[in-house]
Amino acid sequence: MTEPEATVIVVDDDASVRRGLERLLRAAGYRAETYGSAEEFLARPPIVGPCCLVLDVRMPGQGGLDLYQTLTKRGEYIPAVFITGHGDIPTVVRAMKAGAVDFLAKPFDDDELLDAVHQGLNGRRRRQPG
Amino acid sequence: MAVALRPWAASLGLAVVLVVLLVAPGAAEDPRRVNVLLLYSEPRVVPSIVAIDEAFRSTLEARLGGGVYFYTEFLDVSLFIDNVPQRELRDLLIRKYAGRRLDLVVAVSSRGLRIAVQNRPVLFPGVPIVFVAVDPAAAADVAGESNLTGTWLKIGWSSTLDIAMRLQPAARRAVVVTGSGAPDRVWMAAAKAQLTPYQNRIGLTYLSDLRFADVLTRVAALGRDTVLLVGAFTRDADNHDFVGAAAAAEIARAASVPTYSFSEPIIGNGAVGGDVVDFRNHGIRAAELAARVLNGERPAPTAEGTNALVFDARQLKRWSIDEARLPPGSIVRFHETSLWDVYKRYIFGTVAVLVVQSGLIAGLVLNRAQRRRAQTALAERLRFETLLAELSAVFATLGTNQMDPAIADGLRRIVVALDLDRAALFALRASDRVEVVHAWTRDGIAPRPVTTAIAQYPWIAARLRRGEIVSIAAAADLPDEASIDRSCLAELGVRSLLAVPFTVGGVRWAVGFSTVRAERAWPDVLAQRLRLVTEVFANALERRHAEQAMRESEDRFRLLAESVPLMIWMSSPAGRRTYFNERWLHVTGCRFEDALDDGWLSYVHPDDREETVKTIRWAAEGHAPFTLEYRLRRADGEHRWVIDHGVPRRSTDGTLAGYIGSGVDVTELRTVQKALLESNALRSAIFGSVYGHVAAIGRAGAIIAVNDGWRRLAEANGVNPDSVSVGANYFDICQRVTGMTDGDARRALAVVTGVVAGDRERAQLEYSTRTSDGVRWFDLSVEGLRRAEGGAVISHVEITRRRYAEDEARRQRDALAHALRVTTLGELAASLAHEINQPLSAIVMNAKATARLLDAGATVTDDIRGALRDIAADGTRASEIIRRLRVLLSKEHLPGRAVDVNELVAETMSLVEYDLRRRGIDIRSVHAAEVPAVSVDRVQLQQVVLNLLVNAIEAIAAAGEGPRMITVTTAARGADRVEIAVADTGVGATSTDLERMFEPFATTKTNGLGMGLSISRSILRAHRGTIWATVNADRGLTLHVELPIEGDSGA
Repeated sequence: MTEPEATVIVVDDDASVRRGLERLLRAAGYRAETYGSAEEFLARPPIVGPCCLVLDVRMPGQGGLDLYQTLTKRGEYIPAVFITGHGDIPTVVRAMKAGAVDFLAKPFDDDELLDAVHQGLNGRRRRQPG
Repeated sequence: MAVALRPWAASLGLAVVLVVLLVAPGAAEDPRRVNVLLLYSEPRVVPSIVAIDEAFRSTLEARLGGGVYFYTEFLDVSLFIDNVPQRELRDLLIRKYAGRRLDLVVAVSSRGLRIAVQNRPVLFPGVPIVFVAVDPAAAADVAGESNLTGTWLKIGWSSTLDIAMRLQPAARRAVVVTGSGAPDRVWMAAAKAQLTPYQNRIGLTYLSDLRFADVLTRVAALGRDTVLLVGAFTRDADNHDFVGAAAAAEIARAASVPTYSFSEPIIGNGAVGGDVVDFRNHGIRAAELAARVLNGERPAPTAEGTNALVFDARQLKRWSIDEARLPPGSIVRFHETSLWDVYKRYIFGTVAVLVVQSGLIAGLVLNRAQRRRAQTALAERLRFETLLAELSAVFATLGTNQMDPAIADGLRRIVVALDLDRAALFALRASDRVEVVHAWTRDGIAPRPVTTAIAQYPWIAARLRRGEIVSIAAAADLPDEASIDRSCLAELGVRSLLAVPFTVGGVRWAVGFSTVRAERAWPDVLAQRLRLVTEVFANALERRHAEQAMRESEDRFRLLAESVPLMIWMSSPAGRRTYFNERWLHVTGCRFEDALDDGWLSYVHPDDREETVKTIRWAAEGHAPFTLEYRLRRADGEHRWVIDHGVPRRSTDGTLAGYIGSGVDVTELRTVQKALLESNALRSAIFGSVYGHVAAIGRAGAIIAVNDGWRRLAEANGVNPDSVSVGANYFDICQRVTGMTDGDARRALAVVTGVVAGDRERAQLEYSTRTSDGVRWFDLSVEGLRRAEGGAVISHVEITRRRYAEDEARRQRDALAHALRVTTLGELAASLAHEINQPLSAIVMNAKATARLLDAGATVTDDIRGALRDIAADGTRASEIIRRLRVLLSKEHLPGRAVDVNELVAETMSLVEYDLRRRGIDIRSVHAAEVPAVSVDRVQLQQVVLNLLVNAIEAIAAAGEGPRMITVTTAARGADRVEIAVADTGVGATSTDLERMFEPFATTKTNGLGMGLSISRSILRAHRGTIWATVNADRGLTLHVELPIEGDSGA
């Protein structure tokens, strides 16, 4: 029997970024879902099967970090990769301490993103850093 | 001198000289004049007094070369039995001499000395006293006083007894007699003291305290081997008074053996002789001492040269004592041919007349007729002296209502005694009237007219007014300047006139004597005697004047008492009421008779009666004033509250004469008072419970009320609340109570002072105190008290929690302001960069996705088409962002919107409101009414204004002390521009700084980029405006922003 397909959920307020990310992830063979805000995502029914989050840090309303903390408070420990247009260090540190898989600044390398997603889903990197 | 003068020539010469000398124009009171007060305690015309008086006056005048004025007081002390009325004496003396400068006081006899010394501190402090003929034993208690000298009375008991024993060697007993009066006792004591050593040689018997009749009997029965010594006899055991030497003379006459005495008058009146006190010498010696004292010396008292051995030739003859047996140097008087000696002692008067007197005496001595006249004159004088003594005694005890007949009678007796024709007592009234009060004319002579005008006697009146005695021996011979007087006198038939002035009650009086039948001379002696008469009258009139004045004042009191709207009463010393004024009776509806004594008490409310009576009684015991509060029944039956205040009245001798008091109806007052007290209590309660720590202060800072919170705050800061409450000065204690720092306290006090001084109605500031549990914040608000006396209410309210909340809000506002403020290109670029990142990331992801799909062998699907389309769109989006950035970089003019500058400034000011309050900085804005709108990017202009405000705040904060005020002004400049100016009272800047401050990175702040002003300048330039800075005349800087108005903004 085939494993349930792994889902990558993208939460970003910018439409272009959502579309681009979705294409990339599908091209890489993942199933992708995109949401324009944390609230939209939280309204979604619980996920089935392995899942990884790609969260934009700065969003109007609840930001990516806050969303992640909300989920962990609910007991849902879904691995998350944070992306952002800003790269300030305190945010990075907070994210990593919170348990993020990775933290990437836009524009990012597509391989780097896919690596992080893979790690998030499988617990190890797709390829060794070289 | 053996001048052979014809009688009439001598008289004429005398008269002329006397007139010339006596009526010579006297000087008005010369400030260099020496004023001497002569105090005699004995009856005035005792010969010893006369002798001392004359000798003293003439000697002193001679020594000082004139310029001496003598005041004389005869205190008649011996007329009072031991109980000299000190108070009356002092009051009299005060009344007469208060305000007069005295250079010297002369006191005769120990009594006189005692009176002088006792009264010196009050009456004439610091004035030297010279005493005359004072018995050292009798004056032992005052002899030690300072500024005191004089002549001691040497009472020659022993020396007289020596003489007696010498002249009567066979004598085996000596009897010493004196009277029972006080001076007599003094003499007796001296006798016993001096004669005790003689006890071995001769038997001594002392007789005193006898009735006079018994004395006479005893002395008449003395044996041959006895000598009799007689001393002063002023009173006998029956309290009969004797004047002068009258008693002693009678004793000597009645005695069966020779009488010896050392009292001169007694020697002339029956005693053989003795070691006499020569009162004339006393006078001379005392005057010499006085002259030396006035010269500044301090001579010691002396008894030298004051005694002499004097004998009566007649008595020597009576007892067959040979003159040759007398000791050498003795003076024997009453020789047939020694009228000259007698006269010399009694007639010597003022020095000015001395020469003339000698002439007179020579004339008298050499001419029999004149001699005869001299004898009659002597007799006359003796009669006159007796008369004067009687008069003075009579007048001393006269009641004022008996005075008039007594004066008239006195005048009559003088006229008769001196063989004159008319006498009058008159007053020179201020107008030109002569008011003749009493007059007496000899029978057979026409009386003088009742009214006389001063105009008729100008010359005489002028002299009298000056206080000079007017002595006219021959009216017809008056000089031409007195021609009017002369003719008027001639009309009245007056041949000779003597007028002696004196003053009573500020009015010039005079006693005048005149002759009609013949001219007569007025020897200076006589004038002096008559002056004594006037003293008698003067004193009597003075007393009457005083009593009249008192009556007048009583009348005035009564008038007052009846007219004031108070209830006035008077009472006896025991408290029995003796008088109620009309109002009192009217209010109570009571009759006068019914209210007297204790009748008035029945009008007092029964509940208050006991207390009232008790208070009055208690006060009367201590002669103290009292205040009563009781209900008095009014005529209509209603009880009214009355406050009744009584004060003690004293009579002139100091005893309690009763009480006088007044009552006031205070019923309404009490009601109002009660209401006021209650309202005060309510207000105090309200005030006390007010929230916060509140103190109300008066204009000068004195605390007038505090609430409980204030006291608690003081306690919490370790200060005794009572020491910082009502009465303390707020400015002094503010810091102690509140725990403020010095800087905060200074600011607080400045603010409070400003409100109290009326510069502003209210003020507010915040301050912090550091305590062990952290920082606490307080809000201090001062509100001026709107009342005439000024002052303020200051409250300190703790606002720590509110402060923290506000701090939080401020932080957020700061962040916002910061966000608005810091619009550096960097940050703009950062935000733009973030914006570009989105489309760029999207482009990369789309492209990479497309590459993967194609690598995986996919054909161009919808997916790939979609990706390519997105790439294009995102690329456009990115370039748009770039374009905007370029625009900014090129500083192209952005189209702006019309902005109301006033509104914008007001909005920006509200953003910094909190900052201002926290730092205690005032801000005011001056908006021009009609300011044209400017075309500008609103946010950017707000940034500029905000930047200027923040800079102003920081400049003031950096300046420390001083005024803290920001002024924002908007105005139109010319036709096409608008200016905004922000002025501060801060640290200011130098002129070089004024340009440099707009450079980037130009800052004096430790943590600032210094971009604010340079960015502001960029923004202004982009809007075709300008910004510059100027230094204020007094303090700080003004930043000016100028912009073109809307409509002038070409793109």
